Amino acid sequence: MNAKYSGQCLCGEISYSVDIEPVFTGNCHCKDCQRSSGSAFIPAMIFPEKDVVISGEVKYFESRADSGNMHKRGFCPNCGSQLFARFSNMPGILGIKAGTLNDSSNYVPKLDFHVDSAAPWDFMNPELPKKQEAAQS
Amino acid sequence: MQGKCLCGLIEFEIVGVVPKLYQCHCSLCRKQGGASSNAAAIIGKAHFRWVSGQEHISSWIKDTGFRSDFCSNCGSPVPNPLRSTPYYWVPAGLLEGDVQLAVRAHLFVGSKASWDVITSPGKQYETMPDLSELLRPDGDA
Ligand SMILES: [Zn+2]
Ligand SMILES: [Zn+2]
Ligand SMILES: [Zn+2]
Ligand SMILES: [Zn+2]
Repeated sequence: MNAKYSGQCLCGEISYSVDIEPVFTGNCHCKDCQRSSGSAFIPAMIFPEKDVVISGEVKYFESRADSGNMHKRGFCPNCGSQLFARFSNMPGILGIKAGTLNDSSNYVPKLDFHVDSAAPWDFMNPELPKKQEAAQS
Repeated sequence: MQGKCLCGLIEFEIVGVVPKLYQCHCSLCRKQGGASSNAAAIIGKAHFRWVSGQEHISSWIKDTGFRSDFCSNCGSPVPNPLRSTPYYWVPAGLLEGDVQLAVRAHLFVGSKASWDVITSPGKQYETMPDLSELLRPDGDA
């Protein structure tokens, strides 16, 4: 029962596993991702929601992105780890934040996006393609 | 310089100093924000002030002393007093405005994620230096 991707929060109350490859991987540098991670960007893996098995009670916070779409961010209410994302313009899709993976080497980003909102101190991997705006537009 | 969590309930400010940033690439800091590392500043208590929302802070402390303080409404990591020191730990992603900050140090590069490519300047430490070294006025390489 070794899933391709598995991870958990700091305290272990929430864990997840996925046994397929992500449909997209990339680093989001938007200001909301900076606020919710406290850091420079969020490394995101996108999966069909039905393929992700989650155990534990996730708390979601909803906010409006600059695009106008609603964005729900899921975190552990016990330890604060940021784990998941859902998007109103992509129903049935779940984002997983790669920092929570048990094996960090499983994440391979394909793109840096929202780079025009990146912090001045955010230095990126020059070898990844860059996109000013959202990943899918 | 102002800072706030994603939902805006928790606000704080830093006065009288320009924060110097460090990034810790350890697995705990990765899990806290879901990112490749954290990004934070160590700010003397005299330069840090809460503006609003302290009552919304939840706190989780690991037996090793690692501490995660976060907004109970939106989950953003928020500042917390740094153990028994006269300093606050302040997450850089919450800071507002276009002040030119720089990353001066990278901690725990020995345990960073394989896809985490460090291109920013700043001294790299395999694990963690003494707090005094991190706080040195010209602590960058
Ligand atoms: Zn947790
Ligand atoms: Zn984002
Ligand atoms: Zn908040
Ligand atoms: Zn760390």
